[in-house]
Amino acid sequence: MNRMQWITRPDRQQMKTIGVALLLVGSLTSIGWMSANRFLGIQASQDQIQATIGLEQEVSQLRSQYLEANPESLGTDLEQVDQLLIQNFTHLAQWAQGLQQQGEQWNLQMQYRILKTQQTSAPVEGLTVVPMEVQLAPRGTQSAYRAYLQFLHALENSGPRIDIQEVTITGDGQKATQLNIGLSVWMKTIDSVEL
Amino acid sequence: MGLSDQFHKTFSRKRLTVLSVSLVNGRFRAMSIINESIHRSWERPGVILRSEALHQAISDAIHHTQFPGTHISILVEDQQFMTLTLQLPAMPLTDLLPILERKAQQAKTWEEPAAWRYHLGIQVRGTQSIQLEIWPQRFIDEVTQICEELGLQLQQLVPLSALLESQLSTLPVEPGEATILISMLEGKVMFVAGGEDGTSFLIRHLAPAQDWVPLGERVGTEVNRTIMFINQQINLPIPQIWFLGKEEQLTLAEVQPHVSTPILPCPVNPDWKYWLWVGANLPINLSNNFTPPEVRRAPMRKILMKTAAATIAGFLVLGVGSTGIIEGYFAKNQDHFQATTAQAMALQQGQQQWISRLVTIRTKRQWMQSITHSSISSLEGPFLGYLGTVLPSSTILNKVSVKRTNANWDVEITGSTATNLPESLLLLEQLAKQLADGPYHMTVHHDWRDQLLTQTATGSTQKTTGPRYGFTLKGHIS
Repeated sequence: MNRMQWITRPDRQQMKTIGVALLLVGSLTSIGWMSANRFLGIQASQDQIQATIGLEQEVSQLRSQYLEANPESLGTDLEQVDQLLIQNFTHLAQWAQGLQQQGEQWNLQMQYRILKTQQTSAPVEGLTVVPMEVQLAPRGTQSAYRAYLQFLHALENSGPRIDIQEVTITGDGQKATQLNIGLSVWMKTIDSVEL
Repeated sequence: MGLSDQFHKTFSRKRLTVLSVSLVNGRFRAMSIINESIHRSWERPGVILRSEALHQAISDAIHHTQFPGTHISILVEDQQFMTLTLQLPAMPLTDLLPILERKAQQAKTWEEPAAWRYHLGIQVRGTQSIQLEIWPQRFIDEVTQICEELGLQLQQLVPLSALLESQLSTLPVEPGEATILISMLEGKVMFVAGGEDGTSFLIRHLAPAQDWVPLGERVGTEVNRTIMFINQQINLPIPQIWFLGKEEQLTLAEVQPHVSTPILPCPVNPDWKYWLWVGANLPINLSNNFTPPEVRRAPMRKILMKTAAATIAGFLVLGVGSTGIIEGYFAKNQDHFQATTAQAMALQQGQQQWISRLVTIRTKRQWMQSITHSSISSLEGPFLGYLGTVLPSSTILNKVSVKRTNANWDVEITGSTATNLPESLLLLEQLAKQLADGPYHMTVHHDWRDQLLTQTATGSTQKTTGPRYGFTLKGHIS
């Protein structure tokens, strides 16, 4: 019977005590809940401030790295590099014409042709490798071996970047009769047109 | 000792401040005691018969005695109230209490419910002596209500006989001895026997007056019976008897002739103020205190309630305060937080911009570097120039081919010599050696020699223009 006493209905005083206790617990719980929310908010704000400080440092480092990359000289450098590239096929023709004129100084007749079927992409983005074949022959009867060497030198220093793949000099037993040069030039893809 | 009594003992050590009241057969007397000092006393004229009058009397007593406190102690003696001395077989308390309840209900002389208190006396040969006080419950309720209405805390509501029991401790009793106190208070004669520790073990009341026997003789007879009982049952000597009473009602000389044991007057000569003082100092856990338990526990409950209220208030103040501080801090820093948030967003955008710029400039730099540094310098012209210098004069070239394969150059030199075979071998050997040892360190394949000798064996040389031996030198430059 004693064991069952705890489930008996509480009297009025006990009900009051339970009510006050529940009120206290409820009040403290609500206060604690509000405080915890605010505290978490403050904690989050503190974390954000720390993150902002870290972000400021990171942005500062990025700015330093950018300045170290010397952005002021980028335009000049790009212009210099741009000089090494054939801008378009018009430019290519002009450049080849310049070579022809140089060859004529050494009595060489130059012909060139663009190997359309062998065009490949350059390893660098935005560029196209244009393969060419250049043929030179002497206008007179003199040996043109030395003239060929001078032409090769002039070709290598003509300005645009060229990659010589093959050089073949043929002769007839008396003199060098023909010079074949297989080369490729780097041309900008943007201004290129389909041949 | 109950919890309330312990609590009272613990928390009532402050100096006594109480309104001590006696209501003896309707006569009302009061005395205020402030900080254990008698302050003022007041006696109400006339007799109180109704509770309304008692209410007014206590209110007047507060006024007349200028009592500033809240505690009140009340001594009561009324003709209607009953005191029984019972002799019952010894038994457990759980069995005894229903019997006492039945005795009280049987003995009461009023219709309303009765309240009763008991005091266990000496137990001898299986017989328990019990002092039973029986009061009307209505009187207790009225007193309790009056005190509550007047804002007083009732500490004691005891019969007048409780005073006499307390006087035992004031008498000189040697160890191993007992004594008897004869008291004559408000017309009632009571005998209290006790030991050296001041506790009573036998209380007897003189039966109602029997006019045909002188009072002194009746008292003497009862004293002798009490002495005989104590000697037989407890075997304690009683060397002297004490007498406490008013001379006009009963004198010591009227009793002494009937008792062989010397009777001595009490050291104190009490008046009603003395009894009020003694009544105010009675222990609260007295067995015949009729103060209801819930009233006795009221101070503890009040203090507990105040403590609980203070605790709750403290918690609430602490909680509200801390919440307020947090809210204040949050509100104070809200602008800062918002500015930080905006700054963080701006910084994130700036970070993206800077990363984009950096990626762009690095991509362009890398692009430029790929154009300027990835090419392998041309070898063809210089090699052909060198070939022209090392080529023997008696050698005619038909074809020279330099072909680039990855990082190497494959070289093929085709021609003929205008001399005999041994010299041709020697010339070509020298040419191959010069090409290998020269600045370009050409690796020459050795099959040119077999080709040359094969021409001799097959007789393929041209006879018309002198000996001519064709050759093909192959090799590569790394």
